[in-house]
Amino acid sequence: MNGDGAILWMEHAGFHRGRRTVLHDVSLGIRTGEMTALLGPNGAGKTTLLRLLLGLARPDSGQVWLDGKPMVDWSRREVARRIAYVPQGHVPLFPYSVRDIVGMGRLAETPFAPTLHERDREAVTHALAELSIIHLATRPYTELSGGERQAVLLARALAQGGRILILDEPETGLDYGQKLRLYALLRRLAAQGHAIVATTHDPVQAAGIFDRAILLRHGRVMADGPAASLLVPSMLDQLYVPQQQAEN
Amino acid sequence: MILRVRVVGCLCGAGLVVLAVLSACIGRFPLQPGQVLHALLTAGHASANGDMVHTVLFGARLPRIGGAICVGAALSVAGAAYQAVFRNPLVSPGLLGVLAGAGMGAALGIVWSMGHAGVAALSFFGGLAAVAFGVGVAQMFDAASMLMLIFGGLISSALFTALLSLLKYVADPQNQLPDIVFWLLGSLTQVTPQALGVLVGPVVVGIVLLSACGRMLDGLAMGDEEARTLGIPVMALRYGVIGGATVLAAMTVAVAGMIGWVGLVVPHVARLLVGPCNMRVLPVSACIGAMFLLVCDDLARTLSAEEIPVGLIADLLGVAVFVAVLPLLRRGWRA
Repeated sequence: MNGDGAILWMEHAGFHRGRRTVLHDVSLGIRTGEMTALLGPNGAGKTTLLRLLLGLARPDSGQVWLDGKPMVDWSRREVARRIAYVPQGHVPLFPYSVRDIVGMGRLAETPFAPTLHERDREAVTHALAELSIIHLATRPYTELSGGERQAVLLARALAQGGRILILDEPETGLDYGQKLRLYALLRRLAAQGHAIVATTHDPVQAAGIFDRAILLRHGRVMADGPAASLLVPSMLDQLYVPQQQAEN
Repeated sequence: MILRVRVVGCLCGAGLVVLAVLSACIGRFPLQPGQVLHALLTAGHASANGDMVHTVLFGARLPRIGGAICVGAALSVAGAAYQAVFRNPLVSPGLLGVLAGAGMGAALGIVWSMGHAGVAALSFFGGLAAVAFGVGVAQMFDAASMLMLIFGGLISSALFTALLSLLKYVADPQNQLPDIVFWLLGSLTQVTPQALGVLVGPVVVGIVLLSACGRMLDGLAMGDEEARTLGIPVMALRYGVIGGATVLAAMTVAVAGMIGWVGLVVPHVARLLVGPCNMRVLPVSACIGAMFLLVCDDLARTLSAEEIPVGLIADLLGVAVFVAVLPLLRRGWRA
């Protein structure tokens, strides 16, 4: 895996939850400049796979590697400088402003600083500009719409400054136009040299936008290859068919 | 917002100084503000010793004012820190059992007739022991779960409250029981210059250290996993902040008895003034808490000829403040 230029990869990763095996022997690599879609029915292990890639969980067997070093050898701060996570939009209880939230992306750089340093402020402003949401900067995050929140979390990920972006169903709750703008942004980021991994429930759109698709079924990689050739009706039928029918 | 934060900061600082001077003036032996300032400025001169003003001020009032400031600030900053760590604005510093444990420790000291310093020490360690017990219970099941931590705190609080009741039951009803009851009501009458000397350092250090974690605590508001992806060592931060806040809260009980509510109410007022960022909420809470308890103690001293326990006043005034700011709070939360 290492040889083909991957920045983040896993080798023979297995993961169990109690007796149930969530992931079996998964090997895959994430490369910079590439947009990878992760697809599969609910319960296929997509979320677990993301958690392993983010270093939030450790595989029970096999290993995850980041930048040439095993994930377990990196500190949380060092991981945060390399991998940014864009969760599905949720709302904290306290009404932080958009600038505060995006500023949290700089925590790995200056965790104890009372205020953001000049460099951090520049990174925040730059990220807000990239997402065209400077006008939201002083608004409370709690009062934003779903699409705006998504943009804020993306801006936070960019402010983090890492080259790997991991997104959990980023198109959830977006309208058609917002989706198109999101995909255009992700394409632009990939062209700038980011590695982008996103789970998605929209294979039809993913086929036209992502470079690569990884199909996950029952905790195994069913297929891994160019999105345009994998995300075709015959393959999707096989991916999303209920288990009982598959056994018949 | 930045301007507003600066204005609030200046007002808080100035307000605290003015309140402290005014508090030094009132009492059974009234002083003029000029007299107070003069005595403060000439404190170093030997000739001032023996002076009535000097005796009242340095022997009785200043230690007490210092005590009110330290206890109010410590409880409030501990409350704000607990609220951030548990992502819950309704949490008070007593959540993990520190107040119950410290109360029990003090009662034990009184039952054993240990003298003032002994009671304070037992109270302090009782508070730490209760939190250690609660955290231990949580660790037995799932150290990473916040719900388990709250469970552990509930169990610990219940246990130490029961032990406190037991001590009240076995205490000598003539001498010891009234002491325990009075002590639990909370009072600043016994704050000596020595006790204040012990208190000041740790309170200042605690406030500074907790405030320094302010931005990481903000990150924690996004949820544990997300906070980890932002580079925050979640478990270390959570247990470190709980430890610091617990030491602060236990110390307040050791010197002044149970003054609980301040820690729940004051951070809300602070958030209304400077927004949700803990970098500002923690120090502003400390300042407002100090002013709040100073006012409570002034009322406790002056409302009647007999002194009223300050804990009682703080609870009553705290309820009034909370009810008054609740409509404003609801707008800030997603309620």
